[in-house]
Amino acid sequence: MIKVIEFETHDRHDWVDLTAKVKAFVKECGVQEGLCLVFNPHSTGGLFINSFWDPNTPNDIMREMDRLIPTRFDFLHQNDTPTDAAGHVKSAIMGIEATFILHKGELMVGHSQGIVFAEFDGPRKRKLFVKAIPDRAA
Amino acid sequence: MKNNMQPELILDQMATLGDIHRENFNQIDSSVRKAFSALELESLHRVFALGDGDSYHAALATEMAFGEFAKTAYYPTPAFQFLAYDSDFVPYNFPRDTLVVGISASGGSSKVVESVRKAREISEKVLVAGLVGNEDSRVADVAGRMISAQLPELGRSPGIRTYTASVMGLLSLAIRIGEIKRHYHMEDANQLRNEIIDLADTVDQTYQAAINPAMAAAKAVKGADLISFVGSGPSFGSAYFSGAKVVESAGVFPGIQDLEEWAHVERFSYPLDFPVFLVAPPGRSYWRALELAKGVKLIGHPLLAVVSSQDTEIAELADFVFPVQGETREAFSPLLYYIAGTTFAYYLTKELGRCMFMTDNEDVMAARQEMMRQIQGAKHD
Repeated sequence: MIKVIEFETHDRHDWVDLTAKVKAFVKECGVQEGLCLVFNPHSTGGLFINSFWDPNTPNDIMREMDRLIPTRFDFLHQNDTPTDAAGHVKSAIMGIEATFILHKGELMVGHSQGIVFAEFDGPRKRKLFVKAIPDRAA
Repeated sequence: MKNNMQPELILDQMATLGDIHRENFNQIDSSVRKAFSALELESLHRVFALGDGDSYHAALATEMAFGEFAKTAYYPTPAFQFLAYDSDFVPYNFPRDTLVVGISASGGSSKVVESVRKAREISEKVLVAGLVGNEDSRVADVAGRMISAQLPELGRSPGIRTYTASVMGLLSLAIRIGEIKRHYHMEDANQLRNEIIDLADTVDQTYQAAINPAMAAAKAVKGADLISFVGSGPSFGSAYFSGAKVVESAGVFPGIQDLEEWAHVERFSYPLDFPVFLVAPPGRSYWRALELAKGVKLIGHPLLAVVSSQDTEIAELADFVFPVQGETREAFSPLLYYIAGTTFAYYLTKELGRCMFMTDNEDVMAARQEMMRQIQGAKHD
């Protein structure tokens, strides 16, 4: 079973907590035991699993990404924009997918862990692909 | 007659205008991207767009786009004006804050070549580029940096397709500067580019819709010694280009003027029966065009109006209405509002039984040949 979660980002650098939407999908699909794959199909966005209770944690992560890879004009990728070029590098470093264990119909994540989309070249319309894969019957 | 230029060449070009949007815009846009690095465009404060004839008209027609998208100062300038005057006063406070674009469809306009050469001598801080319809040309060579608006060759005629390509090149440059300066997101810039591509069918429909009014208007005004072409903002460029096609193809003198200037000056013209060709898309100057249309009719001029097919006000006043199909933002209106004037130029030429550039008139050709021999720089080399 697969689901496309669509959402919008609102700034050049932004993050969106998608934990509730992924958990809702897991409930909806009815898979009790198996894996859940979350995949970000965008090359200037990232995906990270981290605390979302205090918004300053994702804010810090985004700020540090920007500090490590600031928008510069000397990227070799010149076809689009410098922000876009920096976004590609940030996305590659952060990563774009996450896999979770499904157990008793629940997503097995830590209490503080959330599923966060990282926007590196917004604002834009974005989406995530989510797929639940049941264990093979014994 | 066999060596004379038949006006049907105009129709050959008109039939392909939509295809330039479909097939060539992306190449032109790609050439703009390759011509400049992001760093070079980010620091721009002003752009000089130099050209002669159609290239100058293209520069005029895209002034609004540079204001709206690039938000840079923009100076559409005849090449000789730049060469003789402006080039000595080009500001360059910082590296890459000034861009000079020499526009030439042939790539060989002599004053554009000289202007571009002189621009490169001003300072290394000044960026210089050629926007050319011929990649292997002197303008491209002298500029050292090229935006290519080269299209497949369809044969010699008054430049129509080349004008479209020059307008596209300048619009693309304006969009690109705004994108790099972060006036809007890359997605918004791509949406603007798609708007230009998506005009293809509208261009074809606008040409078809112009044929009947052009035939009727040409029959009605073929006795006119001059025709006045009027528009403001981007439509000043469209009016200028329309007038140029009429003189090039039919040999009829075009009086080209801005709306407000016409209201100040040309309203005193006599006699009162020369036709007025008004270019009035929806937008900032429409209200003034409507007022002028009323005035023109009160004075007694035949009125030929290029307006939206949805228009009711100017259309009601006009003797001949050229309905422009579809809708577009005013900054892109030069891609639609030049079609009527060009179509009209063809049918006027047919009504007058002439060949383009008066090439069928031996006296005219002999006089022109002598002029070209004696006047330095008159020919395109």
